[in-house]
Amino acid sequence: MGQLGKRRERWFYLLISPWLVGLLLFQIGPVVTALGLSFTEWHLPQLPQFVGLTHYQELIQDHLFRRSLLNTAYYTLGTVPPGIVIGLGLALLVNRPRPGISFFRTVYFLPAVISGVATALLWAWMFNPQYGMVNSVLAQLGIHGPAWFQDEHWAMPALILTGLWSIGTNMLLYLAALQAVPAELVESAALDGAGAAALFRHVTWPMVTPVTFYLLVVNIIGAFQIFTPTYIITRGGPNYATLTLPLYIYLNAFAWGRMGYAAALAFILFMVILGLTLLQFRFAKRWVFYVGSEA
Amino acid sequence: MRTDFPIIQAGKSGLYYLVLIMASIPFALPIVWMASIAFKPAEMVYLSPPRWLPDPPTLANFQNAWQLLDFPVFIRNSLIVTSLTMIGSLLSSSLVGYAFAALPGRGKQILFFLLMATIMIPATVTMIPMFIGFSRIGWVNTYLPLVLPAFFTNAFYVFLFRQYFRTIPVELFDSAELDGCNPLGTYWWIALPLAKPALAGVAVFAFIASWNDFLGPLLYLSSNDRYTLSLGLSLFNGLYYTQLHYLMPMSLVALLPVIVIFLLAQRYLVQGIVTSRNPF
Repeated sequence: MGQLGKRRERWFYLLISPWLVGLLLFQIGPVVTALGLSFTEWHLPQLPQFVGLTHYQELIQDHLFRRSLLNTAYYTLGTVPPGIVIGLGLALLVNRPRPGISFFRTVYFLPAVISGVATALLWAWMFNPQYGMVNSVLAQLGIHGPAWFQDEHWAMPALILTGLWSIGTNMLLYLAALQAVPAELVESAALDGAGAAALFRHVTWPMVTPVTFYLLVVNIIGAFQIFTPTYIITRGGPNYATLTLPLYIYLNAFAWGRMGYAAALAFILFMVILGLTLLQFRFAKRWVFYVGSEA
Repeated sequence: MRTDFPIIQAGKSGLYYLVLIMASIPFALPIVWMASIAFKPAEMVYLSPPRWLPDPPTLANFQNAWQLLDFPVFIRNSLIVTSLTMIGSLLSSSLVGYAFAALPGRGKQILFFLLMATIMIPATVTMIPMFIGFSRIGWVNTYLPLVLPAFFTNAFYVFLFRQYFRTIPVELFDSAELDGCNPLGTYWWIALPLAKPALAGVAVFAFIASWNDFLGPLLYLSSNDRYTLSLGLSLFNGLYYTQLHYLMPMSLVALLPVIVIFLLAQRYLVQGIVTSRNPF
């Protein structure tokens, strides 16, 4: 590498310095601090006391921790796979240009840009047993609807449906991927006599597996951070049915002043997300298809 | 290629639009209902079974809610936070994205991998130490904790810019440097003006994320006169739980700028994503 190359390399590090500073200040720094905090008991305004692994021993026994972890997993299973199927379905539906198609694209995508607070408040009312639209529609179909957010068994399904409403981003990303599928590929497959099902299986699906993989990874990370609707609508109730791990961490840290315990819980959450993501990368080679590589 | 008789084609097309309309019901109906509540006379909101249409439609809810809480102040605060966040995100992420796309660097691959890996760090983990840090330096109840991190990039936005800059021929940047521009000048004068779709895409994403953010304002803003719109809306919950006829009109007001921005940038949004494909 010549003089010029060395000079340009220095520019590279200079130009990425905002990211490097941010990485230390807002990411690596806080993660390391959170790990350190998790070994302390800290009641403001006193100084933190080192308590070793006490918090980690405590959380093994803590049934609310177990409950919140299971609830978060329930929410993730309830939103991520259906969200991917619905996202792909909608994208296939609006993929080809036809009159009025951008109107429908906008309608499907719109809920995704509505604030979490407004969405939560709207659906709390939609699912209201007396005044809500959902049970009113069900009643017209002859079904006596449940009490949704006020019922221990139906609160989580209601939360999942609320989450699925904002699925538009998945549709948008699938749409972008479908638009990038070469038209010749589809045409030549159709000329070879491939039916709709075969076309999907052998052409469309392989082309969208990278997006599917990306969405799986990002959606699972997102679902494990579910906070706003539980905080706004149920505060974790009824009977802890919607107590998610992020909400439990928030309550420990900012409502009950247990910073150290909250940090330990947060670190477990981080490890769960990390583990799930690494697992997905491990299995990605088996089913994700990249153009230009072996299938 | 198969061809159908015109009558069959018309039938297929009709069926297709029927499916489109059926699928739009669960997405559109709640928004329609939100609007219906906003324009209903207050006493009509709490009828069981619920009524679909406001009768007669009225603007009273908008007027009352507007006066009840300081909504103009909330809107101003949201605009301050959102515009600063957008500026920070656009400047920092495009700069870093350009460096990753156009400049050589030892360990660039590893650094880029590290950048993408930070997507996995949940906000719940970083929020506790960051809250402690920001309160130590007395920044609680200011906008700095909400705005400042945007000036130090966001992994997803950097990725979008990097992918976009990679579609521009390198010779363009090289010749600018041969003409005596340094890489910073090339980024500012050559690369940035060519990156309008990516800039528009990131602007929209940053606008939506910041305008709708709830956890950040909830943690850091403590006095009503500093509240953003999202946080202000949540005041109706609890304090005024049953006062839905105030909540829905204000939610609708909060929604408007997002819809306008989305419609304006829709073309760029899809284009920006198409060129970027995905990180893995």
